[in-house]
Amino acid sequence: MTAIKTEHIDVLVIGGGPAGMAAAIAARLAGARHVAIVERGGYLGGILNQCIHNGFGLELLKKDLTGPEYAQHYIDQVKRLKITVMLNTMAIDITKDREVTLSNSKDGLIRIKAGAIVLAMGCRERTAGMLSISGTRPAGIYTAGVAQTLINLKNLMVGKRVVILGSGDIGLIMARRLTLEGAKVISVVEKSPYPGGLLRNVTQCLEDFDIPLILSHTIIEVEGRDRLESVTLARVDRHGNPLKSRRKKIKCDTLLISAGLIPENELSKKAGVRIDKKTGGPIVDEEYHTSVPGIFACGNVVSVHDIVDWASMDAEIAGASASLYSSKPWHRHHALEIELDNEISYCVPQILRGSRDTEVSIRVKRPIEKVFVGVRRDTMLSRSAYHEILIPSEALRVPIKAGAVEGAENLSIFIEKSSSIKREHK
Amino acid sequence: MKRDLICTICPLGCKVMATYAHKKATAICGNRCPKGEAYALSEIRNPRRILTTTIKVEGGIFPLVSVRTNRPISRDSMRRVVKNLHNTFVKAPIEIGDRLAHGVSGSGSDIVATRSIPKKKAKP
Repeated sequence: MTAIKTEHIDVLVIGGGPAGMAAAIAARLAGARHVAIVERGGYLGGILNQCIHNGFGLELLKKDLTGPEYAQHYIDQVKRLKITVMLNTMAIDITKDREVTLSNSKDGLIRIKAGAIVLAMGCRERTAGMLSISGTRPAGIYTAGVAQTLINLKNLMVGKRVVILGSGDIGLIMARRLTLEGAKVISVVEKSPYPGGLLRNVTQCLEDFDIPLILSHTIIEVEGRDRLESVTLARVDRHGNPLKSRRKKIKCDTLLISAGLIPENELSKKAGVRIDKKTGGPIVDEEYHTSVPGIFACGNVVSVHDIVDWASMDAEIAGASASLYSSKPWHRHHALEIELDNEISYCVPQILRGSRDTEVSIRVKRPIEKVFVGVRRDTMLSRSAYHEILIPSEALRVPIKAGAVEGAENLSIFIEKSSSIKREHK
Repeated sequence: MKRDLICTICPLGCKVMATYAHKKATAICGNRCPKGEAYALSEIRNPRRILTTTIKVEGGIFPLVSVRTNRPISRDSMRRVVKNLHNTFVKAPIEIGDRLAHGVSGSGSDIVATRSIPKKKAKP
């Protein structure tokens, strides 16, 4: 047995999806000489390849692209900038000293010492097993993303009469896709009193095809021996608990689950990266620097983004910062943890150091109307903006200047009903 | 008549209120840009959408190629167009941007590949 040779790479990016590619490109453009992307799958672009619908790139590229087209835009740059791409390669271990162990069937084990690492592993879907649905375990139950892979990439249809549980964006997109492919989507069932996906997807995927969206309901039981035969629909109370009365059986052969995404952080944890319990991803500062020096993170591994453009934008910052770190590591001092209003479930970045102007992404816990969202530095109100409505499915990006962080004792983001502010002024 | 619309042109998703009579708009408000007004007008007259779907591929490294219409087509024709494309096969290699079918939906829209599909290499 020969010893494994250790190779040095300036910036190693783990994950070849939209965030990984944008980070690698930014790292290269910022001066890093040897940048490499490690990708578990057989091609770059990740989940974009199965997202054949349009609406990607409107914010960042000012073009209305489909997923594969958006991916191609970045793949072309990866090629042009001569970034090393290792496909069908799995990162199996990372240490806090930035030693990474990779594995593939051609080279076996590869060890890399990286000047900086960018984590861009994305997220995975919440599965049927993670929801409390009782009953048998028949065929015909898929997560929405798996159904999307089967239909859009493998040419395999999943069923004829479909119920979708959860109104996340992938579920809504799949409701339309299945309908266009000739299946009957009976209904989309959502436990919350409001939809989980973007409003535009409710409109163009459900309303366009007269697919009913049943709010404040869930599926409590599945039935069927070999194949799914029916699901039981139940109304839920305010706390999300199914009610005993008001249950209904729906005959169907397929159930899709679109009940949220979870950042995939097994590797991050191996490196000792601190994880935010709310987002399920690493705690980062405005450079997308994690708690471990030299390890950066971006995209859906940090927190689930509503649209890919924002994942790419964050990734560009992470990549450029990683490039800088690999050539000249810096020591970090001053760090301010952003304090949040009770109405806000989380924010990213969670920590600010005042190193650059930034946009902090916040998500509210429930829909709230007619509010001011502002930033308070110590006791001083530094900025506030009016919003007609804020909903949990659509994150808000709050700009914060580097100057607002410098020398501050604490920094908080607050939400105030517009009526209460008016009263204050009187 | 009145209709509340969610503009789907961009992810901002503006709530646009349209008042109209006999498919003609009398007032449009709530949009944050001119695209919202154009969207509302088209929604009242004849809703149009970019159609995205897949076509079967022969001899490619993947069995399907993702495609889109090069311009929005009438919403009511989407199902019919997808059904007709079920009988279409295209040969690899396919380059992103290739026109794979012409004049679908009777509106002169073409079907364009949104991904490149290289040829499958023959096993030696």
